[in-house]
Amino acid sequence: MGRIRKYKNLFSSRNMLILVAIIPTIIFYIVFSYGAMGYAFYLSLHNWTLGEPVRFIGFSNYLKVLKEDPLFYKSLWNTVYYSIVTIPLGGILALLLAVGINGLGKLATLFRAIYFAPVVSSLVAISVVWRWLYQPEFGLINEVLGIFGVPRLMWLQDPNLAMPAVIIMAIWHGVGYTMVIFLAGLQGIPQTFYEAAMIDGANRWQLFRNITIPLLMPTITFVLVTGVIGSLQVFTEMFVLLGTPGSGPLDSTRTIVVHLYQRAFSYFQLGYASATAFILFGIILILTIIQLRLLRTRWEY
Amino acid sequence: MLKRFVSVVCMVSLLISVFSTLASAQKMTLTVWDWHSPRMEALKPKLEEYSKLHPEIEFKTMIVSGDEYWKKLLAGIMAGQAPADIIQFHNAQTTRFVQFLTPYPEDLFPLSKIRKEYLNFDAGFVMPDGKMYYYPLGIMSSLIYYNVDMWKKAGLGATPKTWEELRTAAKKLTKYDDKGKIQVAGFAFTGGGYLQYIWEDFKYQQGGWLYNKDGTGADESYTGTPGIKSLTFLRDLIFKDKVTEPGFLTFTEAFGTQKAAMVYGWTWFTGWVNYNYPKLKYGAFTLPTESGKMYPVVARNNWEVQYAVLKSVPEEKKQAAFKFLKWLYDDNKYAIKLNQELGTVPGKKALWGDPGIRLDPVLRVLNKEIPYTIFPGERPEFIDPILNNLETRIFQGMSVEDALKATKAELDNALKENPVKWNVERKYKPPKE
Repeated sequence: MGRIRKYKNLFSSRNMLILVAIIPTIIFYIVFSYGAMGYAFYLSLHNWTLGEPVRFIGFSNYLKVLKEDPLFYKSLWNTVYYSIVTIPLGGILALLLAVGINGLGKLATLFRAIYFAPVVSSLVAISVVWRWLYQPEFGLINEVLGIFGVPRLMWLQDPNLAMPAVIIMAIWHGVGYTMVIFLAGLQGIPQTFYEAAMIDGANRWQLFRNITIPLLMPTITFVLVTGVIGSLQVFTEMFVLLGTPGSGPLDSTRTIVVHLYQRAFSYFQLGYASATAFILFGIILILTIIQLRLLRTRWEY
Repeated sequence: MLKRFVSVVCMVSLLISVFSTLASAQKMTLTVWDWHSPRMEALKPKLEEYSKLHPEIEFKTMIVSGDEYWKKLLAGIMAGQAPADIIQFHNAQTTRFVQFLTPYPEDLFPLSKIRKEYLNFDAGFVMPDGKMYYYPLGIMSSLIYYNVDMWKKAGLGATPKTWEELRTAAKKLTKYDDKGKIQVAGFAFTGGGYLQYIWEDFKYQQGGWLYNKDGTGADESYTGTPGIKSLTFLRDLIFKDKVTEPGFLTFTEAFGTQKAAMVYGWTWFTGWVNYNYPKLKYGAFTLPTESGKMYPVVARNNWEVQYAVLKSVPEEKKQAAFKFLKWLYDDNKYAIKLNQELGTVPGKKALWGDPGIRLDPVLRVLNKEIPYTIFPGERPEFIDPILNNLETRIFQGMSVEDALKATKAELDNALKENPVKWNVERKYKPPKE
C-alpha cells in the first residue's frame, strides 16, 4: 500500500511539471554533453586519422600517449606550471583586492567595475594589446623596465619568459572574476563575528586570520576547484597570444589542450586527441575529488 | 462580365505563381567557401556575371576564418555531407583532403592542353594518379623588398646579386642610436617565422632538400654543410654584422613603418604593403645567390591554387560547378587581376607577356625568379612551428650545429609519424644556364 502511494507521489502533477520543465535541459545534456563525450570515448578507442581507414585499437591510443609521447609530458608539466602559479597568485591577489574593495564603502562599486572590466573584454582583443605590450623593441613593458635598468626582455620569443608572460596576462584577465566571488563571500560574513572579536581585543590580522579565512573557506574551495579545472584546460590564452598552435618557443607554452588541439586539427589524429582528452579528464577528476576531500568543511558557524 | 474578369485574373495569378514556383525549383544554388576576403571580393562580380548569363544558377558565398575552415570542412565530410559546393583549397592540405575531392573533368579541362599551357605541370599541381583536383592559378616565391628612399640616401646603386653584396648593403643601410640600439634595420628577416624560410632557400641553393626521398624525415642537408652554412650566414648577420637584432619588429611592421630598409618576404607581402602603407616607395629584387647567378636554383616556390569540388557534392551540382569553373578560368582578365592582387605570377605561361604582369613592379621581378624555384610538394602546417625553433635556438645562444641537430630531430619525429606523401622537390629541373 505504502509503495503504491510512493509511486503515486512520484507521478504527482507537481513532479510531472518539474519533469516537463527540465526535459529540454536533459535532452540538451544527453545530446550535446554526454552524447559528445560518449562519442569522443568511442573515437579514443579507434585509430581515427582523417584519410586513413578507421580501426578499433582498444586502449592503444592511451598507451601511446602515456608511453611514447614525450610532448605529452612536456605539455603536462607546462599545464602544472601554469596552474601552480596562476591559481595561488591569482587567488591571493583577488582576495586582497576583494578585502580592500570591501572596505571602500561607496567607491566599492566603481573599483569592482574597474577590476571586472578585463573579464568581459574579448580575450582575442586583449591578446593583441598584450602582444604589443610585450614587444621587445618598442613595447611599453620593456620601456618601463628599461628605466630601472632591466635589459630588453623577449617576452614571447624566449622559452623561459613565454609562460610567465601568458600567466601575467591570464591573471590580469581573470582576477576580476575571482575577486567578485570573494566579495560575495565576504559580504556573507555576519558583522557580529567581527564586532565580538574586536570587543575581545582582536587586531586586524587576527580578524582576517581567524574569522575571514575560516568563514570564507567554502568560497575558497569553490575558487580553488573551479580554478584548477579551468587552468588544466587552459588553451585560449596560449592560442591567441602566441599564435597557432599556441605551443610557443620550443614548446614552452604547450599545454595539454594545446597539444590535443594540434593533434586533432594539424595532424587530424582524432582518436589520439580524444584519448589525450580523456586522460586530461581523468587527471581533473582525481584532482577535484582530492581537493573536495581535503577542503571539505567539517563545521558550520 | 465582372465575374469573368475576376476569374481570368485569378487564373492568371494562379498560373504565374505555379510557373514561378517551378522556376525557383529549377534554380540551383552553388555555395562557395573561402577564408580570404579579398579573393572572394574579386570573385563576386564574376559570380553575378555568371548568374546573369545563366539565371538558373545562383551563388551563395561564405567566408570561414582560416582556423575554422578546415575543421568545418572536415566535420562536414566526416558526416558524409558537402558543406560547400566549391571550396577554395590550399595545397598544404593535399594528402589529407585530396581523397575527398572530385578530379577536374577531362572534357572541360583537357590535361594535355593544360600540360602545354601551364608551368611545372607534372610536379606542381597534378597528383600522382594523373588527375588535377584544384586549379593552379599562380605561383608565389620570395623576394627581397627594399625602401627606395633609404637605398638612395645610402648611396647604393645596383641591387645585390650575391649574399655578400647583400651583407654589405645591409650594413650600410643599418642605423643605430647613441647607445648602439638599432633604429633602422638594414635587413630584417626575423620574427614571424621568416628566418627559417630564408635559411631554407639558401640551403636549396646549395643542393639541400626539405624532405628525405620518401618524405618520412628531414633531409640530411639540415645538419650538413648546406644547413650549417645558411644558418651561420644568418646568425652572423644578426650577431656580428648587427643588421637586425633579436626581438626586432617583424618584417611586415618593420618595413611598413620604415624601421627596416630591406626585408625578405614572400610576394603576398606586396598586397599587404600596398594596402597598409600605400605611400611607401619600395622596390624588389630576386634572392641573392653565392655565385650571383640564378642557375641552378634560387628559392622555394608554392602554388596559389584555387577552387576544388568535394566528392560528396551531388552529381548535378558537380557538373554545374565545373561548368562555372571552366567559364571562370577561361577569363584571362580575371586570372591577371587576381594574380596581381595575390602577388603571384600566373600558372598559365601565355599570361606572362600581358602588360598587367609584365609591367607590374614586383611580378616582373618574380617572373625572372620563378623558373629557378623549387616546388617541394606538400608542406603540412606542422612544419613551420618546428622550423621556427631554429630562430629561437639561435636567439638562445645555441650553436648553429646544435640548433640544427635539435630541430632536425623534431622534424624527423613529426614526419615519421606523418610522412609527406606528395613529395616532388626532387623532380625539379632547372632551365638551361
